[in-house]
Amino acid sequence: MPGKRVFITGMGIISAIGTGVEETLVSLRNNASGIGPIEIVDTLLKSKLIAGEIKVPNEKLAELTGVKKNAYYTRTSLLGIAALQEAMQMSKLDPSRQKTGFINATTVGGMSDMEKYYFDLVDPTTKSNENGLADCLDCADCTEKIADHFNIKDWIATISTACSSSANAILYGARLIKSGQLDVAVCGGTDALTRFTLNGFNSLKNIDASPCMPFDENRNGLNLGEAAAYVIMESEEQLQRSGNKPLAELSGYQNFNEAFHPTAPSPNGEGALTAMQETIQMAGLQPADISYINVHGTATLNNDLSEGIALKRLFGENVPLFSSTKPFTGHTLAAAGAVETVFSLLSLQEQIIYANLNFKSPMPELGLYPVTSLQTDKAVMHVLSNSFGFGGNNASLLFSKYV
Amino acid sequence: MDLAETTPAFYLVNMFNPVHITSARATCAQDTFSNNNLPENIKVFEQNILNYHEPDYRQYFTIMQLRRMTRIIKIGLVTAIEALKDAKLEQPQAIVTGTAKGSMTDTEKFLHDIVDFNEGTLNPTAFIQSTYNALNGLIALHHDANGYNSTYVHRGFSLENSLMDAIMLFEENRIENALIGCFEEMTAEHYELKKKMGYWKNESMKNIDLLNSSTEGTIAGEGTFFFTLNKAPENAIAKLSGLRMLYNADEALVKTTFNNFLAEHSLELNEVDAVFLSYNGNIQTRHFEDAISEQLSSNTNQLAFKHLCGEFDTAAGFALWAATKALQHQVLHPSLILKKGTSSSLKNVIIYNQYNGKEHAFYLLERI
Amino acid sequence: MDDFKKDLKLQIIEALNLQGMNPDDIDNTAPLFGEGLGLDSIDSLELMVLLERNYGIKIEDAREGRKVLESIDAMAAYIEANRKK
Repeated sequence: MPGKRVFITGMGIISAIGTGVEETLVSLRNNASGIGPIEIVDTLLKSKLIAGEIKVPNEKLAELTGVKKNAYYTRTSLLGIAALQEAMQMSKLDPSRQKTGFINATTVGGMSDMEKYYFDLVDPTTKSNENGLADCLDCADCTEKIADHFNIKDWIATISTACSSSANAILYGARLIKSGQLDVAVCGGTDALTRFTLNGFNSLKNIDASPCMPFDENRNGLNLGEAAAYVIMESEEQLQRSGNKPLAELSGYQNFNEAFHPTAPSPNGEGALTAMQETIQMAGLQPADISYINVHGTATLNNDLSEGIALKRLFGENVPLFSSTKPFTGHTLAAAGAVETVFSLLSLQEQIIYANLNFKSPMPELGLYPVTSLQTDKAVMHVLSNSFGFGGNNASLLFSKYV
Repeated sequence: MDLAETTPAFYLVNMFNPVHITSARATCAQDTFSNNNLPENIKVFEQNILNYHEPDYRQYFTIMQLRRMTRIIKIGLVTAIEALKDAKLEQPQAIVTGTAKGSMTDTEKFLHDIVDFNEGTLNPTAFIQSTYNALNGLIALHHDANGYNSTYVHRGFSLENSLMDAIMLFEENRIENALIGCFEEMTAEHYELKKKMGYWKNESMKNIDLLNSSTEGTIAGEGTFFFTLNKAPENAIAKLSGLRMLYNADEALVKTTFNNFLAEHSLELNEVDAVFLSYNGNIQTRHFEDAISEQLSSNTNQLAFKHLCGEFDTAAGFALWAATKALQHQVLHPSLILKKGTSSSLKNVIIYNQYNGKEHAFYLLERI
Repeated sequence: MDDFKKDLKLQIIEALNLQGMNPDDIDNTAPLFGEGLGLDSIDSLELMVLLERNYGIKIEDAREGRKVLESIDAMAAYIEANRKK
């Protein structure tokens, strides 16, 4: 629906580079990566792999969020509450005062906690004290725990489209606002690191045992990470009631499936191209208007080549400044779109562009150079954020400076 | 009833232009697949798990296509293929699915492999297929359907959000047609997991006796349902005119919401020809369905369906399929009828579904 | 060697779940990927699991794996030369 606008008035984040926006920004400014040895997840792979793990144990997260003890809050839920707490404080909204929805995203829900007790729980001969956890295996559990914690109930949904999940949550929330279903949409995603996903990506042989190198000729796979991030979005009418000053406007978005292969992107970058192109069109902008692209840039062989080709096809010789922030946080799967949304908002707010860490030499096929050091002297007006996933699910979001 | 007195003003939206259902397909414990209707003789299950009556997949796929498909993926793809075939739609412009659990078989296999092979070199296929949007991506691949694609994984709101997403795509003028569906499977391990939480009845219960049960818990089921939606009315077999989700409500709010839902669509109680109620034999939650049943007029046919398909997160799909079929053929299958109404035709059909007392949904369907 | 290749094909049919396919349906010289049998990148990962579990051959690099898995002949030769069990 043209004419209706959607504004972002709150954000919250927890990832390997910080608890809260402030710590996150310090890390981003200082090129301080959060990727390192695995300490909390119980996995044999910790001897081989590194990850963007949040070094805050569950007990500490429970304290931080003030949740009830022994009430089956999984790490996924705790991370979600920790991140959303900050966003809610920022926009100072009482969910019961207007139509407020919660659109969450996760890829493995409560697997982080379930996998520890799974075999006991499915064994008919054992009695486990953790039966209550059985309900936490699915994706909806964390959504409802988080929604209940903040008393959001007018609209509840969970999206799981692999690595584009929270980008899709954000665009679904925006559309619910535009269609008049909601005044306020609380959107984002949460994924805790699990033995399940670490082994899953390890079985795909696309994890780099060293810090990942997005868009580099010698990239050799991704690092996984864990995170939760949320944004609060308000309609224009709602903004007048709340009096909140927007952090930015969500000026464009697109979801596009390229139907190419179950896990690999098409070699010509078709899906990525269409998602970016139509997102820019929706905002009524030209490719030349884009100040910065926070690329998906997982550092897998396939993704970066395909995404790079799409960039060249769309922008020609004038590819905007771009970087992948995955070397800071690791690939946080369902949370990635929301994490990078927060980074995009901070880029607009602080007028900075982040370094693509670990980059040395460009892919010979493309000769594309990402930003390799923090930029503080560029005008940032429109930031494009890409999230591409398994199953050909591609989503792009466009954030514009509020003027 | 004065709406303004009973509910905040902001509840009075959620309206949309009706969308047209052009096909509906079901695969579940009953043989609904072969004739796309409920069979004359309903299958009776002696145990508390109502497993799929599985279609024959071989005629649909080559060996190469079948190689990575586990049970729910095959069932899902076949059901989607038939729905698209019925609607003569080759490439839907949007594919949106809902599932609470995805391919449990694959999730469980990978959990076991991690332990069995000591986190060594593992088969990637189970991990890939355990992702909730795997089926959605495969349908797109199978039909070479580029476009909008999403998967909702929220228990009793999975199908409902999928439908709302498509409805908005129509309103946004982004699409002319869409494939929507939901799918769920029940495995032995998942049954055990939920058994320990008290989801199921302790005693063995025949599905056909479920509605008379006076004990706690329910029986497990599984089902996959696909629908094609069209913006234009051509070839429609029913219309979806209303959809409302209600989270975490008590029975009073369920009742109020039901009445508001009718009022928003300018319907009087006696104009409702049939209501599908989500009775699942659990005495702990039946007060929700009772709250609606009690106020229905004698015109209204009161229907139940979970004794046929069992309980699962997206069981509302069965009711949506059965309601569509009833409107299309103007017949109510005898096995659905809980309490016969005097209404002689079927124009307005409502579905009320609650899952585990937490997610409540109302649908309004109309005859073409 | 021919018996070994037949055995290998049976293992491949099982590992990739090629239900209803016979060893004779797979040509020893034809490419396993793309044209030919039509396998893809996920299958190549599955075949690497097979090499490790059945023959103790560990291939970490996906690109190297693709060369080893070019055809039945190539696979059989590589296994003969490198097998640890």
